[in-house]
Amino acid sequence: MSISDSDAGGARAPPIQALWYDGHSSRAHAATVQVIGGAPDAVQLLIDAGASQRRIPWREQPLSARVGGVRHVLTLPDGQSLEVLDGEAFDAALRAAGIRAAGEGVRRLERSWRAALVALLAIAAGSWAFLTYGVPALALRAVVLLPRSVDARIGVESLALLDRSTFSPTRLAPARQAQLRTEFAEICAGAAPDSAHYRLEFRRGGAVGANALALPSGLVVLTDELAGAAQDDELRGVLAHEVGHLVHRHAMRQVVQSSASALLMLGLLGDVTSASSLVAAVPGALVNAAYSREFERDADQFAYAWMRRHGVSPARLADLLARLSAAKGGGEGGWLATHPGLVERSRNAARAAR
Amino acid sequence: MSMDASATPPAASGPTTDVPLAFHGEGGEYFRIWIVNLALTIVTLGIYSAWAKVRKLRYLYGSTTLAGSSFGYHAPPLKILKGRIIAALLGATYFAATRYSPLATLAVIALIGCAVPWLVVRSRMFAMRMSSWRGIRCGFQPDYAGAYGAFLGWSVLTLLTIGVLYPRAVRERLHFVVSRTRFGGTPFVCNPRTGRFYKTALVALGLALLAITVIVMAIGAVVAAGVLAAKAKGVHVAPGAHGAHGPALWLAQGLGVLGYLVLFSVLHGYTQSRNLNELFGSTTLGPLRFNSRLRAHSLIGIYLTNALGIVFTLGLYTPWAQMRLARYRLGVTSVTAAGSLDEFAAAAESSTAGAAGEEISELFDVDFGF
Repeated sequence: MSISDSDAGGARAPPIQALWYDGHSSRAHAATVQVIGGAPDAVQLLIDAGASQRRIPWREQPLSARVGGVRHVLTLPDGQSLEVLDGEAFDAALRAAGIRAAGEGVRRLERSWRAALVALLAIAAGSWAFLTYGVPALALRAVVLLPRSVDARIGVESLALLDRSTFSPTRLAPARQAQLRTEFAEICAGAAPDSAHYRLEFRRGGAVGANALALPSGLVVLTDELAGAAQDDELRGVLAHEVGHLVHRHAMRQVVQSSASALLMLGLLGDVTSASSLVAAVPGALVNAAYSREFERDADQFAYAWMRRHGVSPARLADLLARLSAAKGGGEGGWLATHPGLVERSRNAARAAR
Repeated sequence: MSMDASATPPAASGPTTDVPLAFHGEGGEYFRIWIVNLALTIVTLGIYSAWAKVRKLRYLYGSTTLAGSSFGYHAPPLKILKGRIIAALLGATYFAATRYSPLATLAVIALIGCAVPWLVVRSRMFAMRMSSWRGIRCGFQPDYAGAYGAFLGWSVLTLLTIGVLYPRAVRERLHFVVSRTRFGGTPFVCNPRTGRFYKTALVALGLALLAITVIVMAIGAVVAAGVLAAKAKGVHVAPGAHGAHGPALWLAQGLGVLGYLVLFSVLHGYTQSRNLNELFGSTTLGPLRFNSRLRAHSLIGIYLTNALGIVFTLGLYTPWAQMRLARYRLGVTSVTAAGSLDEFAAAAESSTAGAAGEEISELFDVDFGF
């Protein structure tokens, strides 16, 4: 050291190894740095780079807290800079001199496994709450804003896709079709402001079997298989259930909710790799299964209410569910598979019937 | 993080020395930084994300060393916050436009498309100005005409030739970004061979066809087996219907996910390794040459295991994945110095100092992380 201890203006920590750069060239100069304590605004850095020594008043040096174990890089006046090699010693020297770097609190959290665990739990709880309560509420509002033309386009495209992949033309007699359409129109009447536009289509279900689905754009598809398996009162229950989906615009809400939850996951995981879009989809799929169960309950409630008003016991829907379940050996496939929660729903139907 | 505290300044470099880059970041340490900053970002409804980004980048830069000196990242978080607000406004404009008319949507998309080259230049300028090694800042030459040619021009040509010019377009973009960058006052010079990009793209295309065939056949076999088994039990199976059930369909969906990950990893790993090796190998900075020795199979393995790790931990593995990738990529990158690493000069004052022109353009300091 070229500057003796006696020449110091206050308490002095031992010299700390550093690299000094002059700001003009990329040459690294071996150096040492000392933090010289004093009154709060009289702290100085003493930098000794062999050929040149300098004292720098601390107030000229804004410092933000180190991140992890990386080195401090101090920006000095005149474009010079100093890279401190022993970060722990320098942190200790700063503390001894009573200096706090900006973000010191965040750094303390970043170093603690306990804080990491708390952060993890908070993120998990927050995401769960948002997915459970926030996303459905947002989707409800967003769907109101979405123009009906979007519904119509999605509906037409989904039906075209199903026609190509799964469905074949119906073999129901035209008279039977007309009768079911009349009943469908009765259910729709006054159900929603736009329910006059709801339509009923018939298809041979093929792989989806005895089934009925509600597509966006007010389209209900009933398969020949279900029309054949159910009695008229039961069919009216099924149709009322599907109209319930239409009234609540469940199909569009499902689309919006799954996009919103995927977006949330993407936001949480950030720009990791392009694979993260897929990563985001995995929890999204789980969440969507939960959403669709809720939609089924809503549609059932609509159906029960309609059935009671028209003197049909909601128990008939439970009968149909039980019969389909028995016929399909455990309830995999058909209306049951796409309309989950059979046991719970039968119980609700029985309760609604009382 | 175990950065050797006793690291001594590098000895004067000899006539030609191969100096490796080293990465010291550790997954456990980075995980805590990542999760704490993520939680703070959520709690502040996203506002803290700018500070979080700076802290994460300071960790990544600071954990990278060359010849005993670490890299520095110096961006003030408020500027990044401003960039994010602008990005959010652009996003909101787009969403609002989609609500009103398809024509407005097209107009906004066209507008954003036209703005991309400008944004690339602005964000490269910002990112480079905030990056340093040994007290020397990097820089980016604001060549807007070049950016429009490289990004918009080559994209249009790629579209017009139904993708035949795609490898050339990739080459032109990489070449533009590297050759407008400088370290201090010394510009990077780079001249990657177009032929290499074509060869890489052709092999990648072959790999993609092969991988897709294998994946589709595997999924088809599982679905067929599942349908047969279900038929035997008299159960209807509804492929594609919402909420499809049955073990075979779950397995098929799992295979689909796995297939996507394999496809992504193979294509991305292969093209990245080839293109980056070519890019680095053809780049010089004054007396320095760069070497990148990425191996396709190593990079593919890292991408695939990282993606699987991230999927199966619901994202918690992300920080470790990033550290692994950085350690490998930087570990195979080195600098060959035909001279000394000590001789680079800072840029002349006029191009870095806060001149009046810079002040105005700082209004548009953006960082979108391209």
